[in-house]
Amino acid sequence: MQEKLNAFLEYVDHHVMHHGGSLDALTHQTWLKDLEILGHDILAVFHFDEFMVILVGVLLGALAWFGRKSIGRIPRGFGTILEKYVLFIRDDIVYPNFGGAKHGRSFVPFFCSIFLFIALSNLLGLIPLFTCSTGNVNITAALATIFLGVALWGTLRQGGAHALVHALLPAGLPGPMKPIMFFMEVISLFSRTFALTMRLFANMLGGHVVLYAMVSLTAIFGALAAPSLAVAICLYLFEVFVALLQAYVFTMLSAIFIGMMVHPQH
Amino acid sequence: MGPIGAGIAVLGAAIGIGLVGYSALTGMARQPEAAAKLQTAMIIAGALIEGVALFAVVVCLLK
Repeated sequence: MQEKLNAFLEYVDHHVMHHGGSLDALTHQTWLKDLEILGHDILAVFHFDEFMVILVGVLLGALAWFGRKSIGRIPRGFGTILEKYVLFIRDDIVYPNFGGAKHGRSFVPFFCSIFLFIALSNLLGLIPLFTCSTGNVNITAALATIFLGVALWGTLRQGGAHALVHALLPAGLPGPMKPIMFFMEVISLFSRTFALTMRLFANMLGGHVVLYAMVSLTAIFGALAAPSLAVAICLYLFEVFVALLQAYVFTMLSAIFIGMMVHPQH
Repeated sequence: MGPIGAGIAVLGAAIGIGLVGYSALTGMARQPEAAAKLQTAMIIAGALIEGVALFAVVVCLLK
């Protein structure tokens, strides 16, 4: 009985979590190691999430391959779906935050790709036997670092050095306030990056942990825990919604933050 | 103590998200034509609150 239970828990754990350890590892601080982004444990952490990222890359490449016929002409078939998607990102996310096409246009491809990448990673993570690569703090940290780079580099490219200084040091401050405000702005830029990392990571990991807990109850209580299975199915459907919502939230928040830097009078 | 801390963190987040949902729904009921804008703002505010709550939950799990 106990052996069967352990084997079942092992199986569920393996396929729901797959973060380089069992639930024990999760609760007993072993995944503190996962947070050691610059430590030597990177390979151990990436053992399966790495594959998921490559898979998402291949799928996105295939998407671009099938959509390539629509470039520069009236889209037909599959291209119309892509056009709707790009227009949604452009008109609902980028342009309102960048104050129109002048500043926003060159940022549209970035937000299109980041939304698709996160949405696809989240959704693939819900398929059994796959793992959720955005539930790994290293990968969300990488995404947020890309955000940081685009924020700084994009501000420099769109508005020149003047805009970058203006983004980090609001105009019209009295002299003694300047170093304090500069410090505050730099801190807030990094804390936004950190918040983007943790929000996506904790949402996806949290959802999977809750699913795991619900399914584990059946191993502990047997048939008595049938209602928890129903709850797990409802949670799973909710996770599909959360997967898309988190992709939207990440894209929207980075658009707001970058828009505030590039287009400060907004 | 970890699970208790997670519960307390969720209490705060629940109050916050409840207030956001309440005011957004009130706003939408009073001015249905502004519903789309309110919904976007509601999701963003909800995400920011949720982010803080998740920090707390992650800290609880770590310990």
